[in-house]
Amino acid sequence: MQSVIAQALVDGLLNAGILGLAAVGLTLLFGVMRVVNFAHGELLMVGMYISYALFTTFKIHPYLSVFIVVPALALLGIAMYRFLLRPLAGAPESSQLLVTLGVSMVLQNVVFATFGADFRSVMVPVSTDPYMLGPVVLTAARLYGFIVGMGACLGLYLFLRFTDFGVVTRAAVQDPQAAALSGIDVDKVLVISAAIAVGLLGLAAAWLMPMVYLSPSVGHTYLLPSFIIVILGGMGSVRGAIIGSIVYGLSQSLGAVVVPGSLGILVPLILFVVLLLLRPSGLFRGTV
Amino acid sequence: MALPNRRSIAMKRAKVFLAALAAGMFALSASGLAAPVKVGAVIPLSGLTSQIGEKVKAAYQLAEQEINAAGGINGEPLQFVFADHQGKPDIGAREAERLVEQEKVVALTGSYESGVTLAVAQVAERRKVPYLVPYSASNRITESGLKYTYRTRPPSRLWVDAMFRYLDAAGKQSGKPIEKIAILAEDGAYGQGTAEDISAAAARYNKQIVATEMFRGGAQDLTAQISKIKASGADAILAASYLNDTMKAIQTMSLLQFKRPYMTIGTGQVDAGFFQLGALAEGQVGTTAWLPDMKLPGAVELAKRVKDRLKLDTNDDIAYAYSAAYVFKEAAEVSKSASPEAVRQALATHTFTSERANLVPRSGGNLKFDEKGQANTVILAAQAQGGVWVSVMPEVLAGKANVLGQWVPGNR
Repeated sequence: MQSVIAQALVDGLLNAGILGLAAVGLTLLFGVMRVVNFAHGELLMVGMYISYALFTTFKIHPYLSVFIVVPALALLGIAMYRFLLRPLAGAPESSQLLVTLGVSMVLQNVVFATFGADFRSVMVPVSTDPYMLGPVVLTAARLYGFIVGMGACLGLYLFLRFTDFGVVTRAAVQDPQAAALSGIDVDKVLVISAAIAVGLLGLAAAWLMPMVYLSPSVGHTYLLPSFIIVILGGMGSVRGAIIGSIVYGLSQSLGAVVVPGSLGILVPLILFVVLLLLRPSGLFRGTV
Repeated sequence: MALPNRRSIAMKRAKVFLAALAAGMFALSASGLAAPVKVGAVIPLSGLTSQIGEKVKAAYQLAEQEINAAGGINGEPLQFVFADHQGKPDIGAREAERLVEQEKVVALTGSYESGVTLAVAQVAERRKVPYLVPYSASNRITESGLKYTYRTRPPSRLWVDAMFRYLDAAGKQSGKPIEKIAILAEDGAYGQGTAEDISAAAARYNKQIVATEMFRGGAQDLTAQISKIKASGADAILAASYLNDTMKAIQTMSLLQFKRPYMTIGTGQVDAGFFQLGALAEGQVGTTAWLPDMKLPGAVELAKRVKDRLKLDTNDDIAYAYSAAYVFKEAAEVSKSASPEAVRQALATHTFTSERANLVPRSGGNLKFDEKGQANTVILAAQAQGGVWVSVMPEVLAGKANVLGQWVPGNR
């Protein structure tokens, strides 16, 4: 049993890397634009299908596909902002919610019509390579996913914290009007943020590819955890999303081991509710 | 005076025309264009399982063409009338009603999801039309006392039996009996029902259940479940999982260096998509209702015709749909009538002899239905050998011999 728990601890921690990567994009979009993006899971799914198509047609390793998938998704993010979210900037939040929900359905059905409902997967050496740590097995794909995911999350955090663009972004978030008056191009900040938020999903897609079985509905698998992580960490807080993903990852893997049956799913959800009761606005305040 | 004359001429002309029309219609019917025998097929043509629906529709149509080319049923052409149930029981029942009421079908076939099949079966009972079920596996379909429902596909209990029989045989072959079983099941109705069947069968086969793990279908991570099963010391995993979860589980077992047989029901494993696992797929075993390599007269030819005419690989769904068309034909022919009651009577009592009705694997001679309406069909164990699924058990039907796989004690 000890080795089972040790295994769960390691897996939970490693899963947090990719979950965090999906969640920071979501929190960034919310923090900067006040948009709750229901299409986030589907954008990730589209990224995975691009990576899958590149692997099957050109034999490009999923990890190398980032050079195409990340720019492609960043462009998709910019397009979504330009043509759907910006025109709705003054509209009630429910309109934005419905638009992103609509985008998610469109994306899912386009992929369904193109690729069908069959499960697809990519088998590369990292999919099955293990590293042994005593009785605990470290999956290569999961380990690399953790390194890249956590690395990118920390990179984004430091970027927003310590660069000029970060300062400008935070200013635009705190008071868009005052920021515009002091010469900040708020629209540009929003475009770049949309590109980063959705582009990061490309990174997550590429590193998820060797471990997932792809179908048009795979986005849902990541959407709910992402929302929980974002709310747990504090809406709009990148730092919170990083911590939130670790809390979620560990509670999920330990829950599956400790609680019998598929009731293990309840553990992160109960923890989520309890933490919200104690800290209604999440672990951190949403300041990007 | 001119007017009545003209009218009488017109009347005469009309009479001649009508007489000619009647004669023409008589001639047409005499030359073989009789009213067709209509059979309603309620299948999923939209929704999640629509791909399966499209395949079985093609199989029914192929059978229809071949039956009609060979003279039809009792000299009358067969016509399948298709309706889409979208995977929803209420729509299935409504469409079945419509087919009986408006299309005047004399029999029903089809459905896929067991819930839809049970709903259509209720319509068949009420309307007193025979319902021939070629796919659904729920035990309840033939254990609810239905009088008009006849199923060719084996019930889920038989799928589980096939797993245990395989484990026993493999244990004997390797000299290391498989005693301890772990259950891994998705947490929906399918998984729960199958987990119960596995527990019940374990007692009959003197096996010990050492772990029961449930998971949410579509899980991207099964490490927790598999590592608990590994810690339980199980010799084999019997599962209720869909293809993506099956592949995830086998991949996770390999990562955790836990080499044991993993068997689940039908296309949740025995599917061409399984070979995406690459080298991991080789030697894995599962269960299947139909494979072209079986020792079954006409199976290879059917697979070839389906490939040539429909550009499809024959799977169990296609073979069972095709066979069902010939079961109906033979039932209507032995009773010399396609009326619902005559066909039902034949289904209940007749032993089917035509090769094409018998294109499904059976035990104990030709195809026949028991008093509950369940056919004597069987499930086979299948093994991945050299990138294709081949049948390895039971011996009388198997096309290939079982190879002791990578998970066998000693090879681990």
